[in-house]
Amino acid sequence: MPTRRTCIALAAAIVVPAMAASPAASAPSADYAVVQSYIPARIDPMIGFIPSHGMNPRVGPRA
Amino acid sequence: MRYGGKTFRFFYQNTAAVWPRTGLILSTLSGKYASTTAGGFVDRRLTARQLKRLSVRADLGRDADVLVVASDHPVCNAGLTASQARRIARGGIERWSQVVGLPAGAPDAIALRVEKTSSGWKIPRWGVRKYAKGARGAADGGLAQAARGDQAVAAITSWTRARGYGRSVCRVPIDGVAPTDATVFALSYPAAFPISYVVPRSPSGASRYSRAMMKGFLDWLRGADAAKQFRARGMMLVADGPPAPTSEPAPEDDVPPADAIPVEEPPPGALEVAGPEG
Repeated sequence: MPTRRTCIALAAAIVVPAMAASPAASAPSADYAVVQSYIPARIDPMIGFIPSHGMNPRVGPRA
Repeated sequence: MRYGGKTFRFFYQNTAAVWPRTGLILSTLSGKYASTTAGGFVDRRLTARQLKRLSVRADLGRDADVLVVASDHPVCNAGLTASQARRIARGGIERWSQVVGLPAGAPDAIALRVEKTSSGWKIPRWGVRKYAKGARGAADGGLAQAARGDQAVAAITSWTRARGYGRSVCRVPIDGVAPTDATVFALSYPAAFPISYVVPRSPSGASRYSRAMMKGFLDWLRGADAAKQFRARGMMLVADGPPAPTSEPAPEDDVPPADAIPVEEPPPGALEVAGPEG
């Protein structure tokens, strides 16, 4: 099980992205959906990635 | 989108949680908290036991753990075993002379650099969750320091990051196999791993609405938009096929590679998205 320190790191690593740009006003019939995805830390390309219609800007493209 | 005879329209407001170990992800997805609207990116093949509870819905990419040194470091020619790489990461090997002969005057103490997140957490690689006491975190895992020619540095990072540095660094061969686009893609490099997306086979509260929600996400995940974003972050995509041959032998097969992970697709017209009917 994760240590307390790890848990703190995990809490800090939880990504809650901004809502995907969506013209809600022009599409009143749409529902907002939430799909939660778990990501193991060593999947480097996924860190900071929002598995949705956007990208978390805290990690930029690789060199 | 159409699903189960009905039309749905979603805007996705998603969350992603970074966990230290894939095992925790798999246990969460396959346990009593398995949800129709939760899935996981995993960094290994599922075992037969895991496949009884989980379903691979997308074979996305390839990556690898690598150990990087300066381009002219002696260990570059000698290579390491996977066991030696792990012992360097854990601190069991602290001097280069324990694994390779050094020229006179070369630094012997290993300066271990480990990729870290923006919160300072060192990312576990090589199966190591607790690095050597003297390991220092670096956003690039120490790649830039190795590229500057620092002969003491052992940089622990990913192939995704290291591949962009070309010959300015040395990606140390492991068990006789150097990490390259070809060997990582083919998973012949010992520390290479597949990246796939899995969902629970028997999620709780599996309504048509929630299944439609997951289907929309999976459609996007396997589509061109997601692929573009993965590429922008350096991921080697399965959909792009084997890399073009360079100096090393290329995989023989075209897309999909011989070792592609079987991806389960619901039969045409089936309602099931993540789990059985019910």
